[in-house]
Amino acid sequence: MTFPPNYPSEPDNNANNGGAPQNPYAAPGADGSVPPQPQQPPVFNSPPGSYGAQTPGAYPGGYPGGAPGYPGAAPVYADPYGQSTVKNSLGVWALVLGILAFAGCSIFTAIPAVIVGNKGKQAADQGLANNRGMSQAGVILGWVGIVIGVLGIAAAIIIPVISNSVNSSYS
Amino acid sequence: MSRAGRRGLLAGPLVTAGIVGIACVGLALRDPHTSGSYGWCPLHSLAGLWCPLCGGLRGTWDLLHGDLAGAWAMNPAWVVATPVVVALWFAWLWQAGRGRSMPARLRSTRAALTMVAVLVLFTVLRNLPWLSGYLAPH
Repeated sequence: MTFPPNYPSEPDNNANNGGAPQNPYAAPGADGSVPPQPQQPPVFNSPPGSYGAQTPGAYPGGYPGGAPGYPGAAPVYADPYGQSTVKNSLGVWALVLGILAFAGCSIFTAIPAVIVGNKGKQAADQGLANNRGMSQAGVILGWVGIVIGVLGIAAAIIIPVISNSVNSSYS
Repeated sequence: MSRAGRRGLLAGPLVTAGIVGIACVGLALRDPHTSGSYGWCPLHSLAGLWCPLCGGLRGTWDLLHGDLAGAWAMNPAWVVATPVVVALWFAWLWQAGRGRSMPARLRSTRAALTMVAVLVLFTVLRNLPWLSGYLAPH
């Protein structure tokens, strides 16, 4: 992946704040190799000459959103405009699958919830989503669902005779 | 798409099919119509309400044994959803074989919320007194 190189370059953008206009271009260039980044690289590659002048007011352009490469929550709240939402659906799906795991689907949606949730967290770390919390919730629900599902399967194998004597409805 | 990348894409549908296949064999060997054979639905035990998936295991067992009417009596929504799920799996396999993932529309937030809305609607309907005779397990 190309997102580790973002870590060294992006602190410079915030710290220098226009003092070194070459660095901001280096970062989108590096990001450009990542296929799912539809918005940010074109915006900043097309008007290269004017970018240095706009740096103090860069919020409308949304470039500081590159900063959400950090896992921490601070950039998300400090600059909600900059973070893309193109991959927010991953977080929604992770949460839905995690809840379905508890609604009765058990490991059949718990395992996908963990997979999709980890993808969503990865997307949030790359600045492609701003709902890292939803992805995280999906991952947690998924893991708990897997544990409960495995325990339930084990219990169903171990104690079938006891449960047969009880007359009740079930899923 | 590289050969290794395509193989990675194909792993998704194939592993899924393997897990579901093993689960179906296990389900066929252990009849869910026996009360408590797979535990009890927590919602129905606590609140007496039918959750959207109640009857899912019994319906799947009936489908595996070719009993469409029995499956429909257990969970009609699952009977309707099964061919859709199978078709989506084939589409997933087909797209992965061509080195692509599923269309973005099917993976969108709207698709996820639509699924939730359908499940909530079905839950409400199958718990209504005058519809539970048709939509709840019977």
